[in-house]
Amino acid sequence: MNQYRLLHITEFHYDGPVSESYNEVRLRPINDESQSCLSFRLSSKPASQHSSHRDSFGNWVHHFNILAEHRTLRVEAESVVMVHEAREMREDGVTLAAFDAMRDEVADEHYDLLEPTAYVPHPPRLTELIQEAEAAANNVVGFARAASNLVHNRFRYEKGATEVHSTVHDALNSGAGVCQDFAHLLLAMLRMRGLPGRYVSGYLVPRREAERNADAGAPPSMEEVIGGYASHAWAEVFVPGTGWLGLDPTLGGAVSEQHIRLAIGRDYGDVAPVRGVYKGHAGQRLSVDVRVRPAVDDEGRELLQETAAGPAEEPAEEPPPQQQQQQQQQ
Amino acid sequence: MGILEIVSPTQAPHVKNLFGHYDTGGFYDEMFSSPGVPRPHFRHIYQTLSTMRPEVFEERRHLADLSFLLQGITFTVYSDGRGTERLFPFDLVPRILPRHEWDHIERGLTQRVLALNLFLQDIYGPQRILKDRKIPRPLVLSCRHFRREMIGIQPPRGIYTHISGIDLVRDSKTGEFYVLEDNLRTPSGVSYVLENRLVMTRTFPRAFELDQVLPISHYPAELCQILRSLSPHGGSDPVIVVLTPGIYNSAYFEHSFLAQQMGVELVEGRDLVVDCDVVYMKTIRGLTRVDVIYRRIDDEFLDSLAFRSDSLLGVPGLISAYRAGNVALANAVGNGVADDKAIYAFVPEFIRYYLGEEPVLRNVETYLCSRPDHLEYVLAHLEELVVKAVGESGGYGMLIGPSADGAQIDAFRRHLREDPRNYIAQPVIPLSRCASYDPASGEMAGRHIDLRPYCLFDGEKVIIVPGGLTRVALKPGSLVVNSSQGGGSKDTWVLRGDA
Amino acid sequence: MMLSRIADSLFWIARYMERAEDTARILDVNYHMVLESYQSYRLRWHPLIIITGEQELFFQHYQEATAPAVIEFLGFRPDNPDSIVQCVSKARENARTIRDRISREMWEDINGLYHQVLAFRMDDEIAAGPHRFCNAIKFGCHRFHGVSDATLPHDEGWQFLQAGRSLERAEMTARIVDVEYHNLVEHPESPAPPDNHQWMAVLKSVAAYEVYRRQYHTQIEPEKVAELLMLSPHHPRSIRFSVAALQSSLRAISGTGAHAYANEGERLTGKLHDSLTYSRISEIFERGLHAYLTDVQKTCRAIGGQIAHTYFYYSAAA
Repeated sequence: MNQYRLLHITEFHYDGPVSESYNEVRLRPINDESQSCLSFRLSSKPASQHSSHRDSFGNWVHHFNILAEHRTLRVEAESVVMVHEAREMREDGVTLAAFDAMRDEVADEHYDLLEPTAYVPHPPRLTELIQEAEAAANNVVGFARAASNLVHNRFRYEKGATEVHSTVHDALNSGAGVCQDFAHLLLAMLRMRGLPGRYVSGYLVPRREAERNADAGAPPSMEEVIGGYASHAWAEVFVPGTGWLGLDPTLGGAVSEQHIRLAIGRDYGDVAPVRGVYKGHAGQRLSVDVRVRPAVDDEGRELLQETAAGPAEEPAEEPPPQQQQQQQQQ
Repeated sequence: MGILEIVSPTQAPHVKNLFGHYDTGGFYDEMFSSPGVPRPHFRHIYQTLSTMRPEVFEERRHLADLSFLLQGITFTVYSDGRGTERLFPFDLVPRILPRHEWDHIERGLTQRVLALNLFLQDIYGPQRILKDRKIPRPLVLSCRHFRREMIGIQPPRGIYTHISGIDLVRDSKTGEFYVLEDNLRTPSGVSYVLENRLVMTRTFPRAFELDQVLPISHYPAELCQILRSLSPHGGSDPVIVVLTPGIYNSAYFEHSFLAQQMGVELVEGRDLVVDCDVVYMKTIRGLTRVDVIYRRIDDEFLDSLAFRSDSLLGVPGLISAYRAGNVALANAVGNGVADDKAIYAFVPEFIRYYLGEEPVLRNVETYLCSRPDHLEYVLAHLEELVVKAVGESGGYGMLIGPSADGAQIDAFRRHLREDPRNYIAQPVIPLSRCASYDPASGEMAGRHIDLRPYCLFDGEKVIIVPGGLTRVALKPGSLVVNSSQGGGSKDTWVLRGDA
Repeated sequence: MMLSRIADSLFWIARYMERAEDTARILDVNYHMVLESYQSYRLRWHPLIIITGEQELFFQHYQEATAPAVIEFLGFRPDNPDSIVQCVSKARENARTIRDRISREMWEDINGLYHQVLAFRMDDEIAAGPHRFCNAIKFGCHRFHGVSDATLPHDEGWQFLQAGRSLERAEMTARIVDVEYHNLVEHPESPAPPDNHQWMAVLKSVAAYEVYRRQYHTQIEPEKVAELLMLSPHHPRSIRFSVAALQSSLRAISGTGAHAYANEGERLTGKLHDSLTYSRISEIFERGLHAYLTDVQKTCRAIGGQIAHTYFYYSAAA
């Protein structure tokens, strides 16, 4: 059983007082056939009441406001998730030729997930890479996996090479990026080939932690995965007759039981974990801390070891600072 | 500081009869059935004007202008970078519709508004029309103004199009009215309809005695009634506000006018604040809850959180409050998908699909540049077509083939190839003309006109004040009636009978 | 329920109109006094710039306070926020934002004044003297208050209008007395004995010349002028009268009775009014006129800030 307790803490520190702050967060793990969200709790400091709705992709969005002046904002999301066994990626399914025959039908159904977006334009210079992936496999799953591996192998994982607003163009120019860029690159390749693709934001549970969860007697470890950060992003491809399959171009290969899904969308812009606006001239600093640990063990002992701490590799989108209400008169 | 331009009365050349050199020019003329022969419904006004000394007419015209100026009925033009206040030119010759023609128009508009509202309910709800493939899904989903945030939100009483302004033109070839475009977002101009009438009754009081003109002054009361019915808690005395972007908006006068006529508060975004999904306005005694917002701010500026703009015009958190059902918005958010100029081509189909009726008013023939066959035709016939950008309004982003030069046509050819979805094309409609005063000659001359009636929808029935805004292209020969492009307006009379 | 922004605009319409009127008054009277006296214009024009508090800005643009320079600066300059044209424009701009909440006649009146003011050509006014222009402003402002009184419901909105006018007038009169006294009595260059003409000008600029004559039947004495302009309970432009009017408007807005205050603005107003009521002019001179008037001006600014804080700027209780 892969059951995890997640604690996601986002903290904004403002240089000066801000007020009338409005925020929306996408921090509640998805609940579907591949994972179950067993509990979810959201709180903020200063305290606020929140309400929620489902967006057009089915993600849970929680929103809250803080009217009074404040200098820091802390958002804490805690959830317990059970990840089911990942679907096997069989390569004997739909061939690319068979897919092309039904392409118009798929395009009509999945229009939104095929069109270029702000983060994921369709640059012609990706064509060569797409052809390379096509040469590697004659079926949809094989193509998608090859594309994912090509992104994994041809691009350098490098923090700071890009930033939160970077697009596929930027990643192509720098030849490097973080998981957000890797996911966007893969999406561009899938969509340009006519395959619907969607962006997934979530967490990656460090491998040792996952193993220890399976064997609660083993000593806890602190192994860091991709730099030790648990916030993660990858992509899913639509395979006719099968459904959505997850691919992780950052790690290479398919997703596993270590991947916990938070939200899906066309690109990062649809799934930003925390987004907000406020009144005030202040600049801001942001820190994000994600901790994943196995849920309470068989004997009921709380397992306190933290697996990962520190700023997430992708900062939440910066809220555009709002101007203070100008007092026109003098 | 705004600069106001007012044209002082020009001393016209010596003119004896205002219609001395009138020429119908081969177009359908609203006033004359044949040269010199007025149509029966124009009989009285023609008699009044043709026997009036030109100096007297000129003097009345000046008084009318002065009245608009003093009331500050101006709009702001920003093209020169400093915000110039201009009078919306008003032409004193009314446009008159006989009753039978208006009845026909009213039937057609009613049907169209009902179908458009049903389309919006469907597209942000079950999307039956997409599943039944009556309109291509990509065409709908690629609309710039399609708001995914609205999917699943139920607007109060199912109303999206509380107020629509539907532009009609009469084709000189057939004499028939066609729908040119639908305006379902924040159509403006109704204040001019009401103010034009007021000025006309002061300037030509006798004419109203001779002709029985249907009244229009109940528009604000009808609008207010609809807004009242939207109150989320159904109370007897909901707090209604008009939300304006502020005095620098070109339609500010109208926002202020409607608030005053309805007796409700005119607010700017900074006057409102949302707390726990409830909207309040900031008063000298603290916060007061707001129930209904007639908003005149475009969707994308309405809520900087929901629509990710950095605009300060709107109210962050407003869409959450709307979604929670704690506040009603008129018009609904997301209506732009239904007045997209490419979607327009399918409105007759909507009427058949949702109402099972044949359209009463026809569409202008439209080429969708997103269709390769249409695009090819359009590219080959640019010189004879009107090309329009699908998401624009106000006469911007337009090419009028017959009057464009080579460079303009080449530019549009490029635009069309780069982004075909963004354009449609239509044949040039020879718009009907109506006698209008030409200050340069001091005489009446035929000028092209259109008609924008304002339709209110209360969830069950469509209410249309008789007439609407007749816009007139005051430049000789021009077909563009938009105020931003040198157009003016006329009072529009619907007669109680046919003459 | 009145929107804060609307109360704010009404308050400021009245302040800008009063500021325009007061500036027009001192400009007009001064111009004519200079014509009648042989004094150097530096002595006469320079104080005007000090009264309006825009010395620094003025000397960025002009070297000397000559009549044309001062008329241009106080009357017309678009970059002087306190010039008459700017005040009328801002009053009209504020009226435009709330035109649905004021009477149609008020709006048409202030809009008409705005267009009238724009039609004045500065060069003509400098050449022919600013009297026509200043008169138009003065009577435009009177008319505006008359139209407001007659057409606007006398509810809290009207009270904000009154409050704005009273506060602006109190502060302006305090500045006029302060600057002129300093200039005419304490200034080393000032000719002795103080020139009657100039004190007449001061009195005329606040419409108090005839009142003074009736009340004192004497030569014009600076202390008596100060007494009239500061402490008179009846003269409508005296500081005491204006502060009393302000106090009554603020009480009407908050619904507070006499001998009490509902907020800090009211407390400061009451305290100032008491001081003006129970002080003798001789006591004020003993303490120092300048120090006293400086305090009055400071208090006026604080009251303005408190009114804004209480009624105009929403902030959630922290």
